[in-house]
Amino acid sequence: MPITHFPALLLFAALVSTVFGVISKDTPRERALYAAKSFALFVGIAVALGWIMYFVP
Amino acid sequence: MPKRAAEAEITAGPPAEMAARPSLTTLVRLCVAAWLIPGFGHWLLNRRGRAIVLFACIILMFLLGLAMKGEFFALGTGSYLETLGHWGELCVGIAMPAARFFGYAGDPLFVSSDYGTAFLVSAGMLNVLAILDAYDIAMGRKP
Repeated sequence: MPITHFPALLLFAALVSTVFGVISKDTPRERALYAAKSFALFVGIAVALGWIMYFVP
Repeated sequence: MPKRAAEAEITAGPPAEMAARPSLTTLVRLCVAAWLIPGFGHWLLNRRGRAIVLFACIILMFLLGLAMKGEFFALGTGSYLETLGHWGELCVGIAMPAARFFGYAGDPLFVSSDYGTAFLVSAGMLNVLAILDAYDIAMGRKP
């Protein structure tokens, strides 16, 4: 299955965030919020780092 | 007053949660079960919902790693990183030896092989977290 950077990042972030949410919190609402926050941070930080490296010669 | 409290503590015996702790054998069995099949430790502890989500996520991650033709690291190469990678991948449980048994061999020249390898190791690491979580639940430290 050939895959490019961004879909691989999305898949990775989604699966890891789900596990983090399930393991870290106790109620379903807290888990969903934590997983969503973790997913957003994974993707946001990766994209930000990608742009920073774009400008580094 | 502190002396009385200390005496009461001695005569009362261990706290309730200490007394309810499972035996070492039970804990070892639980951890081995949780290692062999991701989420199975939670299943044995009657956390069925959590068990199903953990199993689905970890196995899906492992299967995606296989689909991307990630590599299985070998032992005995003399490289510390490869050795760590091997143990990391083995942490996913019976899925890795099963894939090897059915003839899976990664392709390091495939375009997404590096991603696949990262997925394989990450699946193992997530299973370690799941094992530790099951251990904590069994010890009464978590609901």
